[in-house]
Amino acid sequence: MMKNILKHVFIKDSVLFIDGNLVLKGENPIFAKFLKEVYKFAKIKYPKYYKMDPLSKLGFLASEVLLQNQELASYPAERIGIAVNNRASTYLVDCKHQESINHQDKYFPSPANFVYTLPNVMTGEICIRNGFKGENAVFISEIFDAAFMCNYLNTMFAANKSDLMISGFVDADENHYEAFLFLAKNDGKFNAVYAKEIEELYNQLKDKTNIEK
Amino acid sequence: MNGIQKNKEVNNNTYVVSTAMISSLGFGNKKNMDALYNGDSGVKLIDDHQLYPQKFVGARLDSKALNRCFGNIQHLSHLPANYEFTRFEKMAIITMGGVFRNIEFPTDEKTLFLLSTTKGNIDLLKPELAKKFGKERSMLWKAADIIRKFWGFENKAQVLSNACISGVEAIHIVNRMIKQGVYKHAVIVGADMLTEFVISGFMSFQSLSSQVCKPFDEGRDGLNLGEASACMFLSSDENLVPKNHDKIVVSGGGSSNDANHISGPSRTGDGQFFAISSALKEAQLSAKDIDYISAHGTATSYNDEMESKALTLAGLHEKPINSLKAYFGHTLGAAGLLESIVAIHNLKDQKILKSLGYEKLGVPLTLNIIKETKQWPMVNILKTASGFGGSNAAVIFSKLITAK
Amino acid sequence: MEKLIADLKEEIIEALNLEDMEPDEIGEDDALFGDGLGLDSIDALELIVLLEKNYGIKIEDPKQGKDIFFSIKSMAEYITAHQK
Repeated sequence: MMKNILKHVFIKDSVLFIDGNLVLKGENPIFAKFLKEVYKFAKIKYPKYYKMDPLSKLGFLASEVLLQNQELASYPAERIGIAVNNRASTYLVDCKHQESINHQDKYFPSPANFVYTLPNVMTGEICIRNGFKGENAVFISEIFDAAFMCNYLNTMFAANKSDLMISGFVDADENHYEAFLFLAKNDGKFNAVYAKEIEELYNQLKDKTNIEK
Repeated sequence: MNGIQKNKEVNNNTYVVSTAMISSLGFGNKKNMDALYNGDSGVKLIDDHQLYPQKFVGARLDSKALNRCFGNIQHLSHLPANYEFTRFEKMAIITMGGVFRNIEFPTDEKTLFLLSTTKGNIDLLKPELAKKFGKERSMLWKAADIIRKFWGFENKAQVLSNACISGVEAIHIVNRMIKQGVYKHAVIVGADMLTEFVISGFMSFQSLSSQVCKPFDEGRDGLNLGEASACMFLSSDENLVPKNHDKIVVSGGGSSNDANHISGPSRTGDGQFFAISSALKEAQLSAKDIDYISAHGTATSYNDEMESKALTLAGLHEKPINSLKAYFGHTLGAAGLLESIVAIHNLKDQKILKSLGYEKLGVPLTLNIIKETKQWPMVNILKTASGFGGSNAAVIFSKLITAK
Repeated sequence: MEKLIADLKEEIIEALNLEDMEPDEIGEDDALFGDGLGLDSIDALELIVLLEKNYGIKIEDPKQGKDIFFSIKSMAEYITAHQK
């Protein structure tokens, strides 16, 4: 296991890896249907899940699997946070909202939809579910930027703002979806998380997914 | 290569070297500050079916002036001469140009360019624009990439999209990176536009006021949306601060989550209180050291109530407080940058602005809302923000040396 | 009124993504907000949209919502009284 990474999960193309081990291979290639399989697999019961947009559902499920069996009670709520990288922001639900305002005679924007047109509502849902009150941020880039995310985590840890951070890359678009989440621990020293290791791990998991699908 | 790794013993100061802003009050720092000190509001009744099918009250940037201004700097572009920029991109590019007017431009790997925005080029989802520009252009990373390419930045652009706290949080996160030597300089742009996409969404929330908003007032009935672009150049290099200018630094910041509801603020204010405390701790200051607070103050019933609780928990309820939302409207991803820049100018001018729209206290806890624009001695000022997703952020600016 | 109540139950389940629920689990007199179904402020706004979209009724003052949306029955009564 890598330095200060307590656990990691990877969801993509109907497969779910925990710490690099394949734990679920979906029956259904359709995104929405595979999410339902993960929900069942993780034995979650959370009615608010059904209100979420696809990006929030994906992030939420990945975090549920990540945090299962993790001992978090000893950490103050304000010292656990979440910062993730993302590519398409909330493109899927943005399109839905745009649809609802494209025709003057069928002009019905939905508040339940619109509230999800911000990518940090995904991280917000995770905070609500778990009671995490620490720093939270969503950064957008074309591909997962391990170097920048680790700069962020390391400077944050060095400034002693958090003990634990959930980080990674969560994205959902018309043509693909992907959730890479890891739980990083502040060890009180500078350079808690190595960008090179995170990047290698991410690429390995992508390769493994290609083999499995 | 993204920045330089330095060891943790590095503890720089983050100087505010240069700022620029464009808003419904005008283009440039002087235009905006003069309008603010004069008590002008950029919030107006807007009747434009191209923008939104019904009349609504909001704060709009002058598009003709925008295009004129952009025309003046287009020759500086590192992209091909006939490249077509979107309105959002022009807004961001212009304020970056404003920031670099008098300084030698650092665009190498020691410089971070960060864009703070909630929806960027979202108008490109409209069918006719989607056809013209394509799907990828509507993406935030793409807009940031085009903006950084205009100016020839070496490093890949970064984007922070965290609802209405984006601007304040961007300053906080970047400050930390500069303090620890990961970057030497940073250019942060906060920008968001008035679009049908956003207006229709807020209308469905029933959270827009049909008059100029009234933060903290008993008659407040919702927010006004606005658009703006604001840019800040931060650096650990003290020598970049012009010789006759005050040295102002970002002394601390904090960010938190209420962990309560995705759109409603916490009823207790403890999330924002924590963000403020975290900022004070980092700045090694206490509540008594803060001389003025620029609050989030959106004029919704719940936000202002929550803030009164948070500020009271932090022991700041007797300090002069205002909200700038009645001057500019709520400019979302730009708000944190725009309002911070105004606060920095206030700090330089030693002058605080009356909280426009306020007459009578309408929140459960007593706050010292500023009733008239006046001279006021200040060394440390606090800027706060809250946003959807239950997020909160705070940042403190401090004056180091008064220029002679 | 019976059919309207049955329709409303289905429409609400769909509009508010109450995926776990069946229409017969919602009593027509059950409180929709607070202790009953536990709907929140966004759900309340969504019901305002539902009324306009499905029944052509526009609620000008959102504060009226508390009474109108108290239960399925109160919604049905309001619709019956106001539908064109």
